Amino acid sequence: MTRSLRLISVPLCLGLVVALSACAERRITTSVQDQAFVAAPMAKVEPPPRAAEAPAPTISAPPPVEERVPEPPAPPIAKAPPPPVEEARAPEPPKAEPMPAPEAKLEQPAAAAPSAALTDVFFDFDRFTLRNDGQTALDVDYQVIKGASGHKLVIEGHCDERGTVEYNLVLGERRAHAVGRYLENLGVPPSEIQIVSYGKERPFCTDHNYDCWQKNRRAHLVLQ
Amino acid sequence: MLYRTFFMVLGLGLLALAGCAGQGQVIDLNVRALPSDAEMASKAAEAPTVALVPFEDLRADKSRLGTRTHFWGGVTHFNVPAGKVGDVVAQVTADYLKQKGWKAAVAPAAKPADSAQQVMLTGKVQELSANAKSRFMNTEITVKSVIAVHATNPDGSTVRMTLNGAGSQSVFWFCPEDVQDLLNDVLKDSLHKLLTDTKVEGARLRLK
Repeated sequence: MTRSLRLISVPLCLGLVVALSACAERRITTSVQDQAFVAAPMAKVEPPPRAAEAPAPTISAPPPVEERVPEPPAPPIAKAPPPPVEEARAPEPPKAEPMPAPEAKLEQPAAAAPSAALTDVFFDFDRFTLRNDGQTALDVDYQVIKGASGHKLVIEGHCDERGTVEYNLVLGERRAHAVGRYLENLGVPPSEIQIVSYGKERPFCTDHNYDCWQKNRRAHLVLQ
Repeated sequence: MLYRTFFMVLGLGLLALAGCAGQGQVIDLNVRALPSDAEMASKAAEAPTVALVPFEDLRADKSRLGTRTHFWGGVTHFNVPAGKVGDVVAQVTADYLKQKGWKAAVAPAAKPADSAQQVMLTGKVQELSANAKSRFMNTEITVKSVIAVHATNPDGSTVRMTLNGAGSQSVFWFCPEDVQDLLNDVLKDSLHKLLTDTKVEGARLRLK
């Protein structure tokens, strides 16, 4: 009886040893694919028109990439009354094109007073090229920035909700850079410009339609 | 009497070896990937400042990391604490880079990117799974990770790559730490690969 028990125990123990030896088996493999390096992007910013020259919108107008160019925004959003600076800007030499985005100021009531006079710059879908209306707005903004010496200009790049977080962060940054370069060409010292990208994280408008997306594709300028 | 004792011990042993049936509970894994001592010795001479945005979770099933199927039926699930895999992987990456001497931190997605100074690292977790299948006297653990990373340098240049990691292990006695360790090692190897395939030039990330 004891002999037969031994006969069973020995293979059992051997089996256990074999099974335990399997514990050491461990494999880890690592590989990399889709490696790519993309050099620094160059935003296609048209040189700013000189003050004496009249802009030629018909020549340099970028083709509308998609849907629509923003209409003059609806006034009823009026969350806050137009700041008094707005009136001060009114008597300026008239520009041919209407300012596209007064609602930016309405939705940022906490901004400092000089910032309230700055007009946002809007972009086409998936683009960071300045449009004509954007250049016109920046020309006006430059006058405000010039008159507010001692302030730092923060350019925030914003995008609409389409696309991934990281894609929009980069796109927002490029939009902000495009605006920054344009203002640098106009004469704003680079040291006074700070670039910030919020991507799609801080939308100005939270609806899910084309109008709203157009409002969110912007570079927002803040004087600090 | 001797026979009865022998078979009782044998039966209990077999039961222990095969494991109990799963009850469907969720086990949180402590995911972390710190470089080994040998890797720590080779810290980067130039240490860029890196801001990580929580990674995007693109997995088909975001409810868990994986499942252990038991020999006697039933399952146990694995997950990360709070279930936010994108946040966890970004934090793991930041911790790894910090251990390698980089200045890395996870920033909320809405935080401004001070692009003049730092590299912005974003990523997509395309796959991150940890599964185990228990058989008689053996549990096979498999781990897989596919993470696409995208670094944007201060000058606007970008580096991107997809890190694939896979691991498998066969254990005699299963415990959740086995899954955790294997997962951490796979992530660690993937992050090590990220650093070995890139170089730092003037606070910018480049491919080697």
